[in-house]
Amino acid sequence: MINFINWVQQKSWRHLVGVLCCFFAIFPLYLVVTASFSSNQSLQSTSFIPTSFVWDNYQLLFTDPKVPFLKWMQNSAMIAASVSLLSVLIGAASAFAFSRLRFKGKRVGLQSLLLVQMFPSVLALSAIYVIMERVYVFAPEWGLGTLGGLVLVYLGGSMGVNIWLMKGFVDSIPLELDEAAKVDGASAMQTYWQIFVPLASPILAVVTLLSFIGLFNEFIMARLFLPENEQRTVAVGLQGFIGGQYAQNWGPFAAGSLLASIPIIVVFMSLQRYIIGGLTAGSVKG
Amino acid sequence: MRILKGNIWAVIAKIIFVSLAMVTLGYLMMAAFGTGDTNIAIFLAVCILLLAFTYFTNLSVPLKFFAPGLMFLGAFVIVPVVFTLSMAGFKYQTGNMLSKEDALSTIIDQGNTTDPDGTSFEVVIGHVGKKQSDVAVIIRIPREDESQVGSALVFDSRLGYYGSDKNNIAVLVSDVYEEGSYPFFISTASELVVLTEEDVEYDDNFVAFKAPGFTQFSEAESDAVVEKLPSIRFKYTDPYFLKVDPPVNGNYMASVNQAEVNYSYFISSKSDYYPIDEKDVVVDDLGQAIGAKNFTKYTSDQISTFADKIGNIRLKYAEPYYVGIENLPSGGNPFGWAIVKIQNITYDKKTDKVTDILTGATYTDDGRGNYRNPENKDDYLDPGWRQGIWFENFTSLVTDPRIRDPLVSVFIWTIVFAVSTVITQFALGLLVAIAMDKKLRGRGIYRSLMILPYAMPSIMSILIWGGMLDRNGAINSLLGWDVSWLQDPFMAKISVLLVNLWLGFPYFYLICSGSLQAIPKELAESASIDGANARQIFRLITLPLLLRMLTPLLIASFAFNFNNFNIIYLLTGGGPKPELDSLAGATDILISYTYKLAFDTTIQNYGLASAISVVIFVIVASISMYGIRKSKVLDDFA
Repeated sequence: MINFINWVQQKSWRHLVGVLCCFFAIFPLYLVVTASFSSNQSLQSTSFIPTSFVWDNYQLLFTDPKVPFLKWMQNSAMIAASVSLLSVLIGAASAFAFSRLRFKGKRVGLQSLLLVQMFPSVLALSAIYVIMERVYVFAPEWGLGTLGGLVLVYLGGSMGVNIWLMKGFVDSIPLELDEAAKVDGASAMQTYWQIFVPLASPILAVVTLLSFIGLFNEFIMARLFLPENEQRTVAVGLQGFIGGQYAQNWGPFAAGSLLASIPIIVVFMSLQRYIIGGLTAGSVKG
Repeated sequence: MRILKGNIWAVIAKIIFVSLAMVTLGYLMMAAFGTGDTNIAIFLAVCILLLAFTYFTNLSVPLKFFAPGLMFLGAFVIVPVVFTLSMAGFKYQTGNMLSKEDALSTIIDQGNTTDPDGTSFEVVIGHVGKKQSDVAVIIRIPREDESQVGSALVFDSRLGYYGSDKNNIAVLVSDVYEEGSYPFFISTASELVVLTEEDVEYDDNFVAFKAPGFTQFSEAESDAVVEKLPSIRFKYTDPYFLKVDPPVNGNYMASVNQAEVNYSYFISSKSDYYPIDEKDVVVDDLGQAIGAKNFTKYTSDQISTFADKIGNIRLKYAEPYYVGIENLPSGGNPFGWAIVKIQNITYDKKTDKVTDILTGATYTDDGRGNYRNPENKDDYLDPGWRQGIWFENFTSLVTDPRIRDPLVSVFIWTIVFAVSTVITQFALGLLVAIAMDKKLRGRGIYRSLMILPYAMPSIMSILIWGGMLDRNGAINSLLGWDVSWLQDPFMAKISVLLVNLWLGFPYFYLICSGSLQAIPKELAESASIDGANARQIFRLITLPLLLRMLTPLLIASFAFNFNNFNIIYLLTGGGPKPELDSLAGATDILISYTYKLAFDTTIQNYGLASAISVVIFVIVASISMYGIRKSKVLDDFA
């Protein structure tokens, strides 16, 4: 009995908070799941228990020639994978140099890098658009309307965007190691490739994943730069289902969103220990 | 540590890799030069030099790490940002997008119009002489030949005017031999007045010289109009008309004529416009020219190469007109369509004046990016150009009420939005973190479920929330409510905050729970020994410590949300709008408002949008810099 009173005092409110917040967190996701199996094309449901169960929405994604869902997924995956890999390489090198090398103007350089990143990039869109339009004229495979061109544009941010996450990575490598390498006559480049990168590869993988998710989420540029249906990324393609003012097909949108999100959620969940470690290591240091 | 000593393979790999990159860039540079994109070509050349200096010399070790990132940063961040920033000093909006030269050449290119009669021809298109590039068309111009009907239908007449207007030249005709329908009549270019014998006075030869309304010219008056006579067709029964010949001994003879349409043929080429003899022209059944001497018709393959040049072809015609080809032959139709045009807009480089020779209006540079008619301020030429106007875009943010008023309300909401978002996300995250701080059955499950919103791609979740909050969406139908979540200005703001809370609280939960563990347990313990209760411990120890640790993150989150374009754009689109035509909606934050200003309206004002983005930039940058200074994060790097 005392135990129970104790439980009520100590634990019950914690469970209450937990249950309520979990409900808040998963309610929209639950709706997506039910909508994806529903024959109703709206996000309307009058009860929590699904009233119908059909595979039509999924079928549509894989059979309708106007909805090249697999192609969209492939585009998203290719863009996100290549950009996140390259940008982590570039970003890690920059973070390493900023952290371990001595050179003039380091502080100024770092500050200006951070400042430039703070410009509301959405507004520089038109300038980027004009540049890529010109690039298309002389190098059609890298210009406007190509996946390659979009990759290039995304890479513009590779030096600055991940620098905060990279900080955690650089901090986690003991300084003694590269001093030892230096004594052995290693150049900075060798130290980077042969000591830092192998040691930090798990963390680098996490940063790659986070930047992969971030790219998967990118919408504005992808929509502007890839107008062809076949070239769309999955976010832009799916948005087409519900973007129309009068025809909103929530069923296929929900099904597509689920299929696109599940791989990411699974990877995220399985790596959550590292991700959270990285987040807190990067930020929480009194 | 053998691997660290001069690894030959690493050197070879480096050389191959860098050379490949340089060759690629070099190839692109040549291509860019080829298409006239000199700026891009120069940028690529700088990149190549940078690569060469960085990786084939030992001038700077840090640069070896920065070079690739710097190249991308320069091309796709710095250049666009600098360009956008510099546009804040320009009048740069729809209608004023080009450089002055481009605007002028567009004005000149478009500065032509059809001739007043709208003359056009069906033409065959080909070339003259041997050179295929000497484009030419054969033009058929109808001409009316007049021919006398028979030889006897000639009347004696007197020259004068009809009515009171002396310019209304008329002849008083007498059909002495009664060969026509009526004995006496007055004829002008537009009228035929039949008279009877009683109406007129006639002389001995039955030639009338006086009739009502008709006044005979004196000899001097006759001499003055006599040269006009050949061009006047005096009325007679259609389709015939009268021609009056010059007088013989003061006697005028009017002959009955009819018109006959005949054709003249001309060749109109880039360099010349000349008539061709009828016998040198090949015509079809309808008299349409299909060929001529010294003229070769293009084959359909040759024609198709014109498709994109068609607008630029100008062929000679009677000055100041020219012939433009409007349509190419297509399908089974062998003829194209040519229109007579005139270049009515001309430019004088010395005075920098544009003149419309048809209206006589002149246009001068108004210093505001347009050629404007100084006599009529509303009359200007389109397009205009980007005109430097210094700080006008900035001052108009403050002085122009049409710009200032929406901006102020948007700015206030941006602050409210960013602050409330940070507070609500942090508060809920902290609450959950505290709740989960103790060992708890099912904590792992709670945690996994609660970080789902963080793991889910936010694009999808924002859109889904948009559907749920729709008037007919899940929330209303499940709760049986009828709330305009996204249509009512106040509820829309609440909805944005709610959705953003959903998106962001898991992150703060993770951060807070990490930080809570970093707070030494001894502090709380010693406080509780001193008699502090749980609430006091939280308020006086945990929270202040936590806030101190997390200030930089809170500031970063504020800066992020200050520019959180996606949630506004995808959830409400900035709406609802207070009025149908207003640009700023109730939930528009600065960045979404600026985006609309630059891209989403009919009059896109890049200049103004750039000015606002400079303001946004200054605000966000100073807040973030303050946060960075405070957190001493830079010291860790330095």
